[in-house]
Amino acid sequence: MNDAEKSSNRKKAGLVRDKRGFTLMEAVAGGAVAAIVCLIMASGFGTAISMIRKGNDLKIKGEAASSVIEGAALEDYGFIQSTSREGFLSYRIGTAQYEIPGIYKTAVDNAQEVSFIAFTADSE
Amino acid sequence: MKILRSESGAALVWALAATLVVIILLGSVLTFSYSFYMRSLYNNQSKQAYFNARSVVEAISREIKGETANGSAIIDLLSNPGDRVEIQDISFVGGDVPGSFSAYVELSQVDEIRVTAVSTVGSRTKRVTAVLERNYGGTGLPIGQDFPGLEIPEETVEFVSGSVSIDNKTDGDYYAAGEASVIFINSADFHGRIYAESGSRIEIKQGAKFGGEIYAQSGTEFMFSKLHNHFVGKIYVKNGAVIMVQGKNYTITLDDEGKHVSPDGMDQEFENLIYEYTGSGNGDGGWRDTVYE
Repeated sequence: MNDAEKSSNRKKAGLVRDKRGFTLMEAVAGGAVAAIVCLIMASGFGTAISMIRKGNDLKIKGEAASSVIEGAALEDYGFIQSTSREGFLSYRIGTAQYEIPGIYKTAVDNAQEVSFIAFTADSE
Repeated sequence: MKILRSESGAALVWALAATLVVIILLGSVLTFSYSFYMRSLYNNQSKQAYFNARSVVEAISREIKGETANGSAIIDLLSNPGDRVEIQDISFVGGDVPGSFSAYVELSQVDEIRVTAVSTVGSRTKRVTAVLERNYGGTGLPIGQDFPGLEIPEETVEFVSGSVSIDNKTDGDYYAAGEASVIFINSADFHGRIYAESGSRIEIKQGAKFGGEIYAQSGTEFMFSKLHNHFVGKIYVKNGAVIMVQGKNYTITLDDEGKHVSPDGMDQEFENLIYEYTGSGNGDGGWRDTVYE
């Protein structure tokens, strides 16, 4: 039995593996899957960071705008605008209608993402 | 016996495990960031709901306290404890106020009105209640707790937080706040008023004369060795007051049979100067704030 025949017999017996590393197709498919996973991860983490930023933004603007409503100096918050206008609070007791005149104070951030409004009745 | 395991497919298992870890990690991060964002959003909705409810409560409370026509219309409907007036169709005219609102005014006790408003903005609801109490008049200073209806001329009375000595030239009224000391020196001949808060101390020297009034809140301390014949002013206390005289606490109670001092042993001359404060508010002072809830 020559060497070629011996080798053939061993392959048939399953004693020797003839596959070494990945095939080109496997490498391409694996790379594609890895790329998709990376893309999804990057997109997911990007979304997460964006949401945290936006949430933090809302929080800071909300605190600033509510402080302005509560009477804090507007100068302390450059990104908040405040306006006041007259109006009244209307309500009914039974069939009788009542009105209380007063002032509406609003506080809005420059991007108009956060806005608060409060009513203060006129002093007697 | 040795079990031989085939390693074919191990890469797939590893890949699946890694993917699972990534999915869990990504899911956690996204959940956290979404929660954080929504919490900020809800916080702002809560703030606006609070402003709405407070605006209603303040406006209606102000009408009641100011005894305006609007306020009187509500008060007239509150006769007995438990009576409740629903404030309907609340509308902020001229302001783009978001959310929904409801409110009611309740006579919770004879002397107490509760103004409550509830507002919902988005998914957040806030309730604000103002408790108004009947104003019986009298001072709002701490001593007023023992002496309802007692008026103190705050523009002219001298507030003492440390120590003041009274001599024959001293005139006017004094308010001894906190742990202040008022000392009647030997040459004193005082005919004014002293309002003594709980914790204050009044020291009387032997030669001091006094023809005025002392309003002593429970917890006031009096120190003297012997009173002058002309130390004849009046010392008012509330029924049940505990005052310290010459280093000893005495409880003063007054009933139909007269004045009782417990325990025995108070200086008789000093005891004779003690009177029960019988003043009270008339309840005509309207309503005033006590607390916001």
